[in-house]
Order: sequence, then C-alpha cells, then structure tokens
Amino acid sequence: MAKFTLNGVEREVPDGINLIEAALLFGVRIPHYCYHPGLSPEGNCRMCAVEIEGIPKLQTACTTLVADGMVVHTESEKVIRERTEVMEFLLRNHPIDCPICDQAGECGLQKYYMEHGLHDSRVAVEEKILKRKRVDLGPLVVLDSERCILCSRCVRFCDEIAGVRELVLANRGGRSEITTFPGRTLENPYSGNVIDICPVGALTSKDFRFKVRVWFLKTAGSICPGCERGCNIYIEQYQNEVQRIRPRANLDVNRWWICDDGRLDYKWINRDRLLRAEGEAGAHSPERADEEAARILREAGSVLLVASPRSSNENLFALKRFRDAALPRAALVGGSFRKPWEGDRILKRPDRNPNRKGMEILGLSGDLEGALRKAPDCVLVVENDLLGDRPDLADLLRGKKLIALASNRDATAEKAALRIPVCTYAETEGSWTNFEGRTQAFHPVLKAVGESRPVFRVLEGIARALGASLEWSDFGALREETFQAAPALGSLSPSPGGGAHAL
Amino acid sequence: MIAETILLKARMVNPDSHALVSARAAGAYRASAKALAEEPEEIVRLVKDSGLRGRGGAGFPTGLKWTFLPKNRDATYLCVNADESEPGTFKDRLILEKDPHLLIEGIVIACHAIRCAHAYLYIRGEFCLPYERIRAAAAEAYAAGLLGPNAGGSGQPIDLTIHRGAGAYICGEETALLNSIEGKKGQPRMKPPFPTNVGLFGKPTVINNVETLANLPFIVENGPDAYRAIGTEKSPGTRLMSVSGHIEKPGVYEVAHGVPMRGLIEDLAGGVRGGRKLKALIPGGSSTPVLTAEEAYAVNVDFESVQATGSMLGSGGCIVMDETTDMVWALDKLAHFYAHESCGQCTPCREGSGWIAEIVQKIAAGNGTRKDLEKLESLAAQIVGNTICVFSDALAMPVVSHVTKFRAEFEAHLADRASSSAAP
Repeated sequence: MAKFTLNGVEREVPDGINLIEAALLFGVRIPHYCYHPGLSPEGNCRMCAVEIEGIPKLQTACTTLVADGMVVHTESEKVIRERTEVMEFLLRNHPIDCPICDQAGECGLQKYYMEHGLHDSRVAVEEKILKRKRVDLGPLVVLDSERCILCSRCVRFCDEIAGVRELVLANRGGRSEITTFPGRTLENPYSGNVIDICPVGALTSKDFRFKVRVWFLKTAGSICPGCERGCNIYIEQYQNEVQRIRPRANLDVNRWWICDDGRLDYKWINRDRLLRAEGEAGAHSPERADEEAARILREAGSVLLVASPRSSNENLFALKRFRDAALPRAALVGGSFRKPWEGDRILKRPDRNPNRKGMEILGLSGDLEGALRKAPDCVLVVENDLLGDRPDLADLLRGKKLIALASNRDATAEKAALRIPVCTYAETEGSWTNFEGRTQAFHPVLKAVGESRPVFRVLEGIARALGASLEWSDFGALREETFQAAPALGSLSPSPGGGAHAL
Repeated sequence: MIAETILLKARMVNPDSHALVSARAAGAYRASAKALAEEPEEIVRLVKDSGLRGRGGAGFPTGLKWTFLPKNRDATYLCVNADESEPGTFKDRLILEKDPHLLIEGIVIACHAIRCAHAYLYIRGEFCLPYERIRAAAAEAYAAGLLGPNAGGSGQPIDLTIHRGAGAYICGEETALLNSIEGKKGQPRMKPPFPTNVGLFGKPTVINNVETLANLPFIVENGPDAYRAIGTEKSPGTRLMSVSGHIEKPGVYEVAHGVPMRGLIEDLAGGVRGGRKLKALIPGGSSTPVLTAEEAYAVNVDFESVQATGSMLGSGGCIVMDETTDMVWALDKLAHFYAHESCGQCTPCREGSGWIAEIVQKIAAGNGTRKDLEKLESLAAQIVGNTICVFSDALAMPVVSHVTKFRAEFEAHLADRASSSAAP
C-alpha cells in the first residue's frame, strides 16, 4: 500500500497503480485521451497532466505511479489552465463537424470541451489543416483523419492486444496520420475494438455509421451468445431493434474487448423472427398453441425433449421441471450440432454455444444424435436449430412430429409441425455459465417481439394444457429455484469493471 | 586578441589526418592503450575529476552520467550521438571528417569505463563524407585490432555498429535516437525510466556526443588536472564553436572555455561580414534564445556566462546576424523548421509548432495583426513544459526571445500597426 495526498486529503492505495486509477478510487476523475487501462501508457495527449509537489513541471498522471508521500493536485489553477490549453490545441485543426459525426454525444472532445475547454476560438476555419475524411481502413472501420487527435490508442490496440501491426502513425508533426501499411487493411478479428477505444469520431463503425444518434439508444448489460467465453457486452437498441453491440469491461472475462464476430452477432435478433405460433392448420394464438402442443405430445407414443446449450440456465431448469411435472416418461437430452469455429488465444473459444457448461451442470448433456435415432414419435426442440446446424438430420426426423420453441424462422422451425415463438436473450432475463464455470446474468433490452414469450412461460402453458401444475410467480422465483437445485452453478458472477476507460 | 586553444583539432592539420597511419603517427590510440590497462572505475574517476561536461547541448557532467548505470547489469550499451541536427552546429562533422580515429579512441575508452562491449554510432543521414570517413576508420580500427573481439589487445570485445539516420531532427534527442536504432519511429520516450537504466534494447545505455567522447583521449593521457587547467572552473576544457551566418570567416574554432565571445567573433572569425554591425547572435544552436549585439559582446564562451543572459551555450552553434537582418524573417525560418521537425507525438508541440509557424509567416508577409502577435506569445508560453521531450521548449525559446528582444521589428510588420510606428 502507498500513502499519498490527493487534493489535500491523505489516501491509501495499492502499490503500482498510476495516478489516474488511484484518483478514480476516490471519485476524482482526471481527464485523459491517450490513456487506456488495457494498453501501455504513452503520455502523448497531455490532458492528464497534474501537479506533484516538488516537481516543477506538470506530470502526466497516466505514466506516474503513486509513490509514498506524493502530494498531488488535480484541480490546481496550473492544472486547470493546462487542460484548457491542451483542449485548444486539440481543437485547433478539428473540423467541428459534430452535426454529421457519429461520435457526437459520446465524444471525448465534446465532453472535455464542456468540462475543461469553453475557450473562445482563436482559429479561423480556413487555417485548419485538411486531411482525408473517408479512409476505408478495413471491413469494419472507417477513418476520418481530420477528427483524429493522434492518441495512438488504436495503434497500440493492434500491436498489443490483437498482436498484429496493422496500424501506424505515419508522417510527423501536424501532418501525422493514422494509416495502414500501403495496400494492407485493418482486418484482424478484433478490429472493431478500435472504434470503441477511439475517444473521438476518427474511427467509426461501418456497421453503425449514420444509423441512429447515440442519445436515442437504450442500453442494457448483456452477455455475448457467440461462444462459450461469455464476453460481457452492452446491447443497444432504438425502436426495439438492436443497433449495435459494444464490449462491457470485465477484467475476469474479456477485459475491455470483444471479437468482431461477437460485435456483429445481433442481426438475427432483428430479422426473420417468428412472430406468431404456426401449426399445420395456420396461425395460433398463444393459448391455442399451448393446447395444440399438448395435444401432439399427448397423442405421441414416445417423446424426446431436446435442450440447447444456447438456452439460459433458468430455461433449461424449467424444461427439466416441465418433463418431471408433465411428461415423466419423455426423454430429455441436450446437445448442439453447431459447427465449432477456430478459437484463438485472445477471446474466441471453439465451442460456439454460450451455455454448454450450464447444460452439463444441470445434467442435460447426453447423446443427442443417439436419442434422435431411437425414433421417438414426437420431438420438442427448445431454442435449438438442429436442422440448420445439421441439414442431414432431416432424414432422421422425417415422419416424426416436430414441435419447435424458436425465436427465428430457422430451418428447424420451418420444418416443425408446430412452431411457437420465444424471446431471444435480448428480450429476457437469464444466465449462462461459461467454460470456466462462471455464471453471468444478462438483462432484457428489447420488448418481446410479436407474440413471443419467455421459454419458461411457454412451458408453463403447455404443462397447464397437459393438466400438470407448473408455475412460477415471476422470473426471480424461477431463478431462485434453479440456483437452489443446482448449487454447482454457483452464484451470479460480478463483473469487475475496467478502471478509467470510460470517456 | 584571442587565439585558439587546440586539443581536439591538433591532428587535423596533418595530411590524410583521417587515416589511421597518419593519426597513429601523431599519437592516436596511446590513450586508449593506457586506459585499457587501467580498471574501468579508475577511468570513470578520471573523467569525473576532469569535470568534462557533455557537448551535445545540455552540458551534463559526463562522469556523473556514467555513474548512473546500475551496479549489477548484464549488458551495457554506448550510443554515440553523431546526429548533429541542431541548425548552426557543425563541429561533430569536423571530427568525423578530419579525425575519426580521435572519436573511435574516445569510444574505446568510454566502452572500457562503462564495461560496454558494443557501441552504436548514430550518424545523421545527410552526413555523406563523415559517414564514409567514420566507416573507413572503423574498418581500419577493426583491421588493426583496436576494435573487435580483443580490442586493443585487452582481451575484451568492443564492437562498433554505425547506424545512419534518415533525416529527422528529433532523432538527435537521445531517446528518439534509441527508438530509431531499434527500427522504430524516431519519437522520444517517456522519462523515467532514464536510458542509463532502460535504454537501447531495454538495457542500461549511455548516450554521449561525438565531441564529448573526443575529449577522453586528452583526459586519459594528460590527467584531469591538465584538463582543468584549460577553461573555467565549471566549464573545463575547450569548446568547438561552429560560427556561421554573416561572418567573414565561418568555420569551427576551438577555444578554451571562458574566452570572450567578442574575441571569437572578431579575432578568430574575422568579424561581421563586410564590416557591418552585429545585430543579433544565436549562441548555442537554433533552439537557444537569441542575444542582442550588446548581450553577445558581453558574454564569454562558457556554460555559466551564457546562462546568465538567459540563453545557453548549447551545442556551440553561433549564428551571426548583421544589422541588415530582418528578425521576423529570421524567426519565420526557424519556426518553419520546428513545425517541420516536430515528431507529432504530444498535443501541444504537434499543434502548437504548426500554429506558431503559421502566425510568424503571416506577420512576416505583412498580414499579421496585433492580436496575432499576442497569440504568438501566448502560444509560445502554452507549449512549454508539458511534453515528453524538450522540443517544444526548443521552439518556444527562440520565439519568445525574438519577439521580446526585437519587438519593434515585429510591430513594424503588423498590418494594423499604429501609423506613428516606423515603417518596415
């Protein structure tokens, strides 16, 4: 531990942390652009300069480690003047094109100009240095060089995190520019992170550009469904459509990053949704669908219930209880035929299901293909696109009554005798347990689409129609029962945030 | 009348002074042989006692810098700063061209003193003849066994790698120089850690200027007392002064520290060109504050005397400006240079250098206003002190000194000058 004095108050902090992080522990925010807790400090933006007694020049807080006895002032006249001066320099060649800039509303220049600038401009517009406005850096990212403040976060991200030297700061002085090497593009599988860490509107997302103003977005903390890592994300929606996904810092799981596949893994939530229950005779109301499902299940000689490693722990548990209460003779097996992808040493895991571990803990893993081969009369598939993942299973399922609880019109739902719409993870509460056994909660950001219901509510309805008693007063009751029944799920993991990264 | 005091230039008058045969005939490598027979600590002590101060610009005591190396270290590097990029300075070039073996001998002594087995010499890319000369001299030294696995028969290896720069002023800044040798962009590093702890390739490193190292043979051979007998108490030894500009006999003059500047200008360099009067003098390379004629004639050539005027002896690059010089034009040239050479890393320097250059240009073109002049002064104050290296100070100092000391000239250039003020 180190004792230091921060703005006149003696404080104690762990050894080896820099002044930005140390001050933040006591609610003192030191403005900064180039510093990012996940990257090596560079000290080039000079915005975080603070006064340390005994040192004549201001020191950059990002590169100064707290030392015992240090006396630090973050709000002295000298410091505040310096910040205003740095802001003036940063805006000197900035195009101030906020009205057409996607970063507006979440821009470090706007934020700190309001907090630390508010100076009168001494620059004539025609004196500004003009640079390239639309540089196609790669599949995800567009660069506007005029907006760039050359903090080099993106360069350091590629070098240090993605492990590829794709970006460089070329040229000198006022002509400095971020660029790729000639003829090369920014295409590493984590390239989208440079958009998030860019403190200004220089790097924008091709996917999100010009879609919606950020202040209209509604945000919820969630978990990426892309693989069994369980990266923490924010899902952001406008008019009940997901607009973008951003990483949410969690030092234990994904630090500050997500992969590009995860970033784009939301389009399916917005399109090809199953809006109403449909049977062979046409559309059904929810109640009618539950009764229809009950009829099919009742008439079948043998039933197989298929669970999915994409379902939440709570929904998996509800399915288990459904079997016990309503169909005690039915087989219940979980599994997935989703083709694994290539993992890497950064975040991506080969298994593309977010809850394989939770399904195992709940005792639902088994030989799914074997169970299907045992020729049950009826197969009820919950959140599992068996036919999309393995089209050859169509032969095996021919002649069987297929009931699909599905969010989308996927191949399985299309083939089903009865398809009932359910909510995606973006519309419900739930939890997944990642490959390390870490159970993490996700929260709804969208209203339920069409007549979709949470899986457990659909199961309740079918059970009711089957004459069984299965009911939870609310989601909380289901969750409590789930965690009690399966202590190995542990408790919900907290998400330790990532320090002073938020601009 | 003052005269030169010759320590470093002694052999340069000989024919083929750059060749090993000629240099050896005149005593080269006697001092390094003596040094290699001594314990390294003894050499460090000698250099400390001599009071030798760095000739690159800051004047830091060389022996003291060497002692900053950590006690337990697995490797040490010596970097020879031959980037000589400060406008007005061309004395290292003289050594490289005329007596490269003096430098190599100094390198051998320094390597022995700091236990360095591999020295890197970073030479300015535009230095063509100096590069050819130092490369040929190094080859001769290797062939003669003065460098190599058994340097000077000492049983210890001393290798010398010569690395050419690619034309960036900032690479003369020692940590940018390290980055450049490592193949990175030449941008200064954050300090601490200082190079003596974490330097080239992450190892403890000493960076010394060419002229500094060239002083070592004399010190080793004649002892610290003989060295201290020359110059002043705080600035012992001689100084290679590069004199250029409006001067009758531009060139490199070696003078004992402490001689009057007037003597250097008038006795040695033949006085101001065409018998004109002196208007201004930049005493130590383009980044040192300009002196008025009055100030220039009152100082002596040593660190402390020039410092007392608020300027610096720096790298000893004297730029002489006669009475016909337009000081706004002069600053315009300097500001343009610094805007062009800012590495672009730190916000204040990157944005400020270009902005300052633009304003000076505007004033020089007669389009500036009183507001521009005020802005110029406030920007110069704004860029000082909040950057990774001292480049921004190196720009601010000439700006502030030019505007303060020659204010009337700047005001006369303004578009909105008061009608009563003198026409330009």
